[in-house]
Amino acid sequence: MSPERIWPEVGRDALDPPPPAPVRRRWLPRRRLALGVGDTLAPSLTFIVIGVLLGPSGSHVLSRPVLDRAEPLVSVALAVLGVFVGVGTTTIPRTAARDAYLSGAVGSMVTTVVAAGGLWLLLEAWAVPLPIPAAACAVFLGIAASASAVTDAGRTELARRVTRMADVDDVPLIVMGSIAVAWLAGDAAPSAALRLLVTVIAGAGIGLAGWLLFERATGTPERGVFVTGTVLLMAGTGMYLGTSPLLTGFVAALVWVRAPGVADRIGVNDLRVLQHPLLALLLIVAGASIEWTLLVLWAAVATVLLRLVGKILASIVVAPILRVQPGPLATALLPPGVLGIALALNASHVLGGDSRVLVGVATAVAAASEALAMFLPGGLEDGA
Amino acid sequence: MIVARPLALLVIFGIVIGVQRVAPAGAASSVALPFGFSLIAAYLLGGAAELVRLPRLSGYLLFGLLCGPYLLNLITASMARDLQLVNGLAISLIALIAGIEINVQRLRARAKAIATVGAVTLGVMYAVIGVLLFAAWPWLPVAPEAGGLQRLSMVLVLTAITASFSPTVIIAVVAESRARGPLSELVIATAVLADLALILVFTLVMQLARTMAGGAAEGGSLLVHLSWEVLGSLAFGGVVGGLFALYLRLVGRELTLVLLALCVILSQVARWWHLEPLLASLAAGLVIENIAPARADALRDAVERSALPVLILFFAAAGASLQLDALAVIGVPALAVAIVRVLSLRAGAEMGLRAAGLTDDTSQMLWMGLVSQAGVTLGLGVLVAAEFPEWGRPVQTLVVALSGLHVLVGPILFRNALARAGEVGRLDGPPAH
Repeated sequence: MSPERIWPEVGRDALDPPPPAPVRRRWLPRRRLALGVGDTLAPSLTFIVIGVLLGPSGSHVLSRPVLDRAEPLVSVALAVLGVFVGVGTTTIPRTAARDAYLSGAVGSMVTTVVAAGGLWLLLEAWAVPLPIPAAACAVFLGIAASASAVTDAGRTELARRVTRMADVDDVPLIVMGSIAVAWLAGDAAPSAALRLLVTVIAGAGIGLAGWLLFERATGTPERGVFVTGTVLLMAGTGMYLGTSPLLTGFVAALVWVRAPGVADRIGVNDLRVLQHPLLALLLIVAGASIEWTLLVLWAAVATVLLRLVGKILASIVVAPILRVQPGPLATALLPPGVLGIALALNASHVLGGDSRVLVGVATAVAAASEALAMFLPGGLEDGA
Repeated sequence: MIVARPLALLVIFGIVIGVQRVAPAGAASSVALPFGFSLIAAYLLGGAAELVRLPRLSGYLLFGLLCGPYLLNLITASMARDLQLVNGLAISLIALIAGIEINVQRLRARAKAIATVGAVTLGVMYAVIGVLLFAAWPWLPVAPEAGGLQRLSMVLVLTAITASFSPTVIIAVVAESRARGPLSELVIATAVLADLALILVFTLVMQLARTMAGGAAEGGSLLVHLSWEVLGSLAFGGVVGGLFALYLRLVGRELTLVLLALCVILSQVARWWHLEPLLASLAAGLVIENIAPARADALRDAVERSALPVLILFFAAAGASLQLDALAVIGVPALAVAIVRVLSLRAGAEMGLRAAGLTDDTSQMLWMGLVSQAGVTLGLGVLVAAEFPEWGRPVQTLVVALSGLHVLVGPILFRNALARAGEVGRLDGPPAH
């Protein structure tokens, strides 16, 4: 989302981190501001490490039953992320929308195709034993790998263009990810297509209900009930249909921003309170869910490398659209954010035990990419 | 737009019906769906209940009943079980509210009167219900063939459960009505005292029943058990309340989140240590109010923000878990016992008030506040069924039916009494001194 767009009612866009520190010594690793938790070294990485330490592979404080019980919170976090992505798409100025959508869609598709295709070839060639079909595993990890979160690009016009592209490339991830989850959940009756259709209709219905209720709430407690209930409905609907709360949240948010009134701002304002705790919890649960096996490590290393190649190729393809040099663009798009991890947790809850490997790989890939991004030069200056 | 809320309600019902129709068999269930559905739909139905001068809580209960597994089945049996997850949190939060709202100084002046009222009310209820149950035992579908001391022990157990009140529902009605005044305080204080007495009496009658069933008497450990449950709960709540008061003084941030975490700690740890969560939370509230009164206002704001959704879910869950099949099976005897209970409660309360010298019109409505029964009563029924399956299971069915009747009628009566006493909404105005 564009940092320049600030709503007077709700402040900065909810997914936007604070502005980057202007002065930084070049020899230090880049400070990442993911989650906006603080100006510290990659807090998302910190939460994942905390999760690993607390999880079954670590101190076992977060045992498997405890992690299973966190499902409602994870679903709510997914729905909240979907809402923020949906609301974020509308903060792009009309004049810049075409470039942003085109570059976002193309960049996301290129990364997905490279990562998924490469991984599928490797899995087939090496006959890697997997608990789920190799094609499904590759497609899913490829989609999760396409996520980007530009948080430290700078304040120039170029940086804004790249940030807008990174915001929009969340949309194909949500759409393709939801289709992949529904497809992996099985195509027995009711079909994946029908479940996806109902998910979209339900998301729109929940958006409509929220629009009817938010602005007419008579006080803060009542509005809190409506917003909380709406997000819970988004979360529950997506999980119940075996699709994704990301999609219900995204569609509902689109209804809010397209409908007259300020339902979108009310929703975002109230959800902002939950944003940091939920995302921190999501990362901790993801970290704790990693089961360290040779397969996870192998797939993670392969996916990180393929993702890197995918991002470089995507940067070469979309650089002319954004009128920017491919090198700095690739560096800016490298940090993965939390959407890939969120999608993997979504799949894990819908598909059950066998799909835990997806969470392990997606989380390890996100952590490794995040760590890698810290050591690469950042900042997009005009003329880059 | 006047149709906005009904339209939103229709849309939400449509979504839930549609999702249930399409969801694949064996789909990953999610507690988020019943929670979200109940939160919005029950709240909107609560508003509709208010339009016909019923308490909002009755609207939440009716939502649960209507959408629960026995009627529309929009909240399936497994969803209703999921909704119960909120119970521990709700009981702690509701008791904490009571602790913060209770004015110890004002209560101290009326302590003797309240103790007298409580003792006489309970005494009369035990006597009337006990004698009538003993006489009518052959016609009750529990264990009609039992006689002598065995029958006496069963009657005593059933009497202790039947005479119980629900401090949780009572405090929730007060909180939801934003009520403050002498009737609210009298009802809450009497219900809490009765809860303490219930712990004592129930432990003793269960021991008698065990002895009658051939078990060993355990006098010493019984005393230790009782002391632990009552004194341990108060001490635990006091310590937690003290720590929270320190947090309020030294940090004082993110109060809503910390408050909810506090309630989870109070309910879960109390359960692990076999303490009484209601007493522990009440004690915590009292300590917070007395140690950090200046910050209690900030806490009260946080409580108000978090209380509404918790109350809605608690009562929607209670409505959804009402076992209508139990009412169908044992409806007539349950209705008879319920009538006896209410009559004895009214007589006992009147005698108690007279004995305590409380003759004002407001206090005369005490009995209307004490009709509700819910979680504690159902919990005791479960304990009896687990320990004495042969006659405990029919007792449990009777108790479930009784609670169903009382939880539907009780909040309506109490809200009516609070309105007549002019106490509804007084929490929003200047405090009454």
